[in-house]
Amino acid sequence: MSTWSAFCWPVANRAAWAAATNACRRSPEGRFFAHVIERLKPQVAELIISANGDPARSRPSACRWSRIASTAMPDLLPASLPASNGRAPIGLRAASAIAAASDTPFLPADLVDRLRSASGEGEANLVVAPISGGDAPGVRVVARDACSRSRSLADERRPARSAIGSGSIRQER
Amino acid sequence: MFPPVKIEGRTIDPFFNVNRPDELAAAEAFLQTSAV
Repeated sequence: MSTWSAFCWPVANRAAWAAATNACRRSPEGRFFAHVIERLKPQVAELIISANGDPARSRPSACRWSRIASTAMPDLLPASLPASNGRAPIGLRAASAIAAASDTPFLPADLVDRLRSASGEGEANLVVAPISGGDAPGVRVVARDACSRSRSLADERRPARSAIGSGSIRQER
Repeated sequence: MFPPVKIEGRTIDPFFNVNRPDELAAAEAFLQTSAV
């Protein structure tokens, strides 16, 4: 397993709901999201999910989030910011992360290993944008530095941030 | 770098991204006929 993190952003809250509750896998979004999680989770040390809203206040509850991800965190970036540009995990602990949209259900089982190899086994500082249709890449690699820039952008909005982790709860301000 | 994913004899772009209704339908069809 890689030391990298994976960060998934749901296309909509409905998709997050579906995957988290495991009750609505009949919906396309829920099934796709579940596939992304199932593909990425074995490949990384930490799986982070953007909860769109505040995961501490919205349903599914923190407990349900913790079943599927190491961390759920609010997506604090402006909705107008393209996914390919700014949807990076705030407070990322790993140096590098795979960021994947919840509507890319056919990700390779060896995605992280291959990207690590491509980056020379070092810390990834590259952005990859393999894409099949659409304008925004469904998958990319983000470096912690890039996440810091996103964090600065989010700080401008002065939100209360919370992250729910399995076995740990941290508040960041 | 990444070859197509082969599942039960069918292949698909591993980075297939659902953005349009026709892509949604295609992904749905693939999932229904494959044990992905």
